[in-house]
Amino acid sequence: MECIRRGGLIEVPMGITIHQIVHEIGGGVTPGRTFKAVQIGGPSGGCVPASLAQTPVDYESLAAVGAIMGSGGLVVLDDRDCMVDIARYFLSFTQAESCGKCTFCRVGTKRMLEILTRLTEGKGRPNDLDTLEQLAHDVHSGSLCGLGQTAPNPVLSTLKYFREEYEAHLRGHCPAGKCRALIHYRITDTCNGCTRCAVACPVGAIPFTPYQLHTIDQSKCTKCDVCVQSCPLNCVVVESGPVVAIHEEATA
Amino acid sequence: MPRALIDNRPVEVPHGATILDAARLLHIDIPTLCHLKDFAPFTSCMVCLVKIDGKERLAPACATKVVDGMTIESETPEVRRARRVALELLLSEHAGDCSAPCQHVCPAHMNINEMLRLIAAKEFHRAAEVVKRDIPFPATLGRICPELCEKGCRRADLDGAVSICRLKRFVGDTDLATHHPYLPAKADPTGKRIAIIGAGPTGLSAAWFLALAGHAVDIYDARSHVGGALRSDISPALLPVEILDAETALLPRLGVNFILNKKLSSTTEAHSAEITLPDLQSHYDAILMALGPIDPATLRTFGLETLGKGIKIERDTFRTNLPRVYAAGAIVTPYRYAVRAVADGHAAAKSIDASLRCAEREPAQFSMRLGALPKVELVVLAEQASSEPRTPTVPDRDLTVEQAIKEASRCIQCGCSKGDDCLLRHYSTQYEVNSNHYRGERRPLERINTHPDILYEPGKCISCGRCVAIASRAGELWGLSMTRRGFAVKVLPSLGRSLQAALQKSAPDVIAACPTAALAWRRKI
Repeated sequence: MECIRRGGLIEVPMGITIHQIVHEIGGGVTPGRTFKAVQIGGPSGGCVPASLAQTPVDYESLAAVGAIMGSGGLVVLDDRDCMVDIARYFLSFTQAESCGKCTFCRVGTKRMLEILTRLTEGKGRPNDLDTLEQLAHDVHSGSLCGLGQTAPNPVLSTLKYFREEYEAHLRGHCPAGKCRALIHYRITDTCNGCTRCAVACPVGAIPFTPYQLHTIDQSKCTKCDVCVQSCPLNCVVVESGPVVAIHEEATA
Repeated sequence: MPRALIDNRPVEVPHGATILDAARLLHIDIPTLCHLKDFAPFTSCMVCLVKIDGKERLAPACATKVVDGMTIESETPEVRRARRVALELLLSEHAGDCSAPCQHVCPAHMNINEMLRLIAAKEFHRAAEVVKRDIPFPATLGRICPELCEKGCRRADLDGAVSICRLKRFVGDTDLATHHPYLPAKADPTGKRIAIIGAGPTGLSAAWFLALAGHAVDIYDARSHVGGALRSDISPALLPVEILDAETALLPRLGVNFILNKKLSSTTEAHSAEITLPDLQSHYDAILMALGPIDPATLRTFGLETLGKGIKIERDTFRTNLPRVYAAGAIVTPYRYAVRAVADGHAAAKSIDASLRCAEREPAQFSMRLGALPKVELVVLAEQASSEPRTPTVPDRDLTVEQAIKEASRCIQCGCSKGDDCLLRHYSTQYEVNSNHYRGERRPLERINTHPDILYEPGKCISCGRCVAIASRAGELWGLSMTRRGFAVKVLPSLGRSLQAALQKSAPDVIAACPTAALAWRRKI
């Protein structure tokens, strides 16, 4: 998130498109990244994928694509933003704010959050997506107030437009490289052994080996990203998928 | 006055009436857990959801006022599903078992908690009543049963399981020693006649329960004595013949007729020492085959379909392929434990009784099971139980009365006191819920023991708000409040007061209104 070049408070006429806001006014996303989606309406809102960027910003058009205007908050997301994590983030907010009176919101949002948390930790179970989707509809239908009725929106809209991302998480893969349990950092062989990453690493996960290819000890790595930022040759990459599989590929 | 349609039935209600009021006028049963008559709706449980035509979301019937021209549906698949989800979500928070795990593990599902509570209170005769509801021959089984129940006892994870089996034997022996062993009351005669072939544990058990249900029962056996494998396969050193005789002698007192020395023959022409199935079929309303293990080839000569090592039966009804012929026990599936034979006989008896009364099959009663508990929660449950370690038992020496009371007091009573009285369980049974659907973090298991008469278990609360409303209207100075928020919401006496201070005048009304056992009277004998 926070990848839009020119963020801030804008006043625009109704009917302006998402594309115009993101690219003409906002200046697009950080160079090197790809615009993925916008989240409109905060925790009660929904996401609109880049493919629907021609959608005009007005009440009916947004409702037609599964989003809401809300209070006018618009968050721009790029390829390094994980839609499953976004849904989890918003649901953690609504779940904490639930007053606890009605069954569907009190327990339903908690269960949805548990499923989303499991997915981001790579502990998803085979029927989690169906349970999550059905529960989202039930919570929307059975909740007493607007909080419970709209809490499932981020879940339902991300499931609608980015289901393959959810399915990747079931397989232990975070395509955006965001979910910590599902990613690992790796130094590629363009490394020249300058040792800057070893010096910068706050937990000592990179042994100091001057002039040699540096390696990251996965058992110590906290995925803080400092090595990526310290490397002058951009040879630290973030990869997703079980670490075991990567090693098997390397030795094959 | 507003007029509406509920399930295509017209109804007219006074202004301000809710859909629930209208449904009740039409005798349509809409489930409710938090609704309280003459109180404003709290709309918390959401089990009363109905579909209103034209509205996208379902509506709570208890709080939605009837508008003239409304069309409401209360029994669509969507509505039933939503109600089931609401119940399953409530159960996923629930920190309580309907029955203790020992009762589940026991093949006969005896109410062990209640038996132990009565022993601890020296009510041995009432304990015998409880045992004989499910196990007709406790002194016999208490000598040969492999203590399956103790494998499920939660106390085992603390300082040793309760000696349930020896205590059951104690109850059986004490009952026999009175020379007036407990005999339950029989139901009125039904006029139906049942033949049971086989006087072993399965047949004897089935005879007991069928006779109690009011049927006329004849038991046939090829041997000259009663007991089947209990007599022939068990050494008298383990099971003295007098004990088996004394307990089986209760059956004739229930009107059961033993016809011994009669062999079952598959030929059409039977001589006087034999009986045939067709003969029995013409004289009896139902026949139960309980002969014990028999070679399948032999079984087929009777025209019976076989499966594996025994007779093929319809699992839920115990029916064989022959009309009015049922089968249960080792003749269906060979097994090792007499208690399983007894349980099977009971289940077959229930099925035969239901079919003879043309009763509709009731859904199996729902039971909430928490499974294994972490030690810290076991300690909470065990707080009010005796802290004595397990009484060491000697195989040949019976428990003394003092030992029995001491050992029975170790039971932590983890089953629920309102097992048969709980609204949540009632609807969960009706809607055939699956309590494993939404497994996740539940409420913490807690017992608030400060009140002399009331046990408060916040883990069983469903946040229905009834107790809060009742205490408030009663004018309690302190009363109860909903504290905290969201998933952590908890009903507590206001401002840190004790439960006694909070409920000085409204305790009986509050307890009567609680739909679960969250607020319940302490079990006292």
